[in-house]
Amino acid sequence: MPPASPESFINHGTAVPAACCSMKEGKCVGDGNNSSFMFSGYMQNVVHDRRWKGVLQGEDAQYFHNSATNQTQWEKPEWSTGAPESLSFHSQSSEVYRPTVSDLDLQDRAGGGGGHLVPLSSGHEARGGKLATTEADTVSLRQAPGGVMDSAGPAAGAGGPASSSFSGFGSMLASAAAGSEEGAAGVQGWAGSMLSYAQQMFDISSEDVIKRLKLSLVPFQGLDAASSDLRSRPDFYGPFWVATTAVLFLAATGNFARLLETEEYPAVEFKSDYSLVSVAASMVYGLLVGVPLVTRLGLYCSGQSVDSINFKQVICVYGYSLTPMIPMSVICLVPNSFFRWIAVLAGLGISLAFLWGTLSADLAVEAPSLKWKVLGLFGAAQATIFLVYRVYFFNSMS
Amino acid sequence: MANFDLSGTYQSPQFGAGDGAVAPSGHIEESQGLQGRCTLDEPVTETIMRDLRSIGTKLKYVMLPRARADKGSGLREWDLWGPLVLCLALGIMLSMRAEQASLAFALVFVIVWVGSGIVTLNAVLLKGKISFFQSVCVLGYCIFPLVIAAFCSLLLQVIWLKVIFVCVGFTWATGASVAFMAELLPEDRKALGVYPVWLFYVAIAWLILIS
Repeated sequence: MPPASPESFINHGTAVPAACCSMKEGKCVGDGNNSSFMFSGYMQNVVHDRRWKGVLQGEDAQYFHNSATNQTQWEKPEWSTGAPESLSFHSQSSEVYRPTVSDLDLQDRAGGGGGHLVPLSSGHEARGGKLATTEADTVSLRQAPGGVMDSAGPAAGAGGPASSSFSGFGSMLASAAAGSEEGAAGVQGWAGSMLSYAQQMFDISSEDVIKRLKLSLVPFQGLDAASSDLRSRPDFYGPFWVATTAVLFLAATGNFARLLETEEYPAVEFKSDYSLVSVAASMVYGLLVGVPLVTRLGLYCSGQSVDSINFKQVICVYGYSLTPMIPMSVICLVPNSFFRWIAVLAGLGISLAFLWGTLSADLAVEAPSLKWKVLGLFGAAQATIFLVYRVYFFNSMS
Repeated sequence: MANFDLSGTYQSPQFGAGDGAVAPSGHIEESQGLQGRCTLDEPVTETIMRDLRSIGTKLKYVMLPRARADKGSGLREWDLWGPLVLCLALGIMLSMRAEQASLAFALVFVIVWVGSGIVTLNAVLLKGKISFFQSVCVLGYCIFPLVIAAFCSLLLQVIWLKVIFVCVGFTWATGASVAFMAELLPEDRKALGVYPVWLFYVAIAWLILIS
């Protein structure tokens, strides 16, 4: 038997359970004549076109309301779900819909005006933009993310409802949305700005990273240009992934060395030492974060202005200076003690040369009194890592 | 579940199949095939079997070379049960013979989950068009070849056989996931986004190798 039309659910005076109202992502709204509970937060697959809202009536029934064309229907709104030519997950995402700030904003702005369903259209008209509410807009799913991706600049003229929905709002939202359709589109407020800030730190291309890596391994030419480059565009991708790779390689080669040694002494069975991973990780990550922190504290305590040293640059340079550890750890697999010492000292030397080359000129300009202390601190930290690696990780079994 | 007193013209929700109305089921994830069915009335085994079957199809999908060809589009409906099962299986296998069993298990768990989270976060920060849980799901499912390799190397404790198994498993695992990740990144940063994926599987392969 066909269900009653959705309108019959309105005007019911049914109690909306208090528990629902406390949920973060659903909203309990009621105006004069509609006490249904709008549960837009958990409608998945429904609200990629945000004019459609799934309205959950009770807990068993659900109808769909389009605020633009003001139609209600029982069926889920159809849109093109053909397989995309490439793996465009953003257009066929089946993730939980997270209400964006734009939605919530608009609701606040709409205020007591027409009803609870988001007047996206009215919001845009308020801005003087004309929102085409054709059938094409409401069903075109593939357009929507494309619109979002274009919203870095003003979205004027760009088709698609989603782009228009982002155009009017602050640059924060635009940058967060432009950054990643799925990853950041649901992020509100401070988290969105944090995300866009973090994206700036990762704003680097492959060639730049490779260039910097090569420089940190062979720090004897072109250091001046590189240091100014690092000063103007520090990135965090390099330091983080170099540190992670270093942790992995240190732990791996430590264990492999023990494995190779047990080959020589078959009586001793190889027991892998997983604690090497935690030692390596705490050492490398701790120093990567801790040394700049200590420097900052030192600056603060010594009364100098904390901004006198460009910390992003310092962290970036320090992270890249960990690169020689990786080839060094591979070389240390050779089971000769003297050779290992040579390798460790060579790695330490290269690392310190890189640090010196890139930082000393800048520090001399920015904070001359602290130059030696800072460089000394970094040098000591590097030496710690290298020497602990050599001594602790390669405890010979004999 | 709150009680509603829905009187008047409200009709009790005896939805037949194909009514077109979708009733919410027990879990957030609803596959396309559920449209029109009320899943509240089915037996519990049916609900569980549906999830298990979906995990099974995804695992089969990962193992086939086709995964590399169409770049993981069969994993579009993500779920995290599969990665959890695989992670637990791997952790148990690797900690069975280890001396520091609890540390080994913890390490596997942390590397799989935190690792895939960080790799995905890295892709997001590089401005890739990545859906977070989708990516975690793909990375998790692609561990399956390595789990098989771990199982084989558990049975035969010969070093060079282990190396072969792990290498084969590693290349198989990276095939689909690298293709998936590279697809969604901007042009000049593909290498930056793909390298962490490679590193992730290297870490897991190393864990298997030294067990």
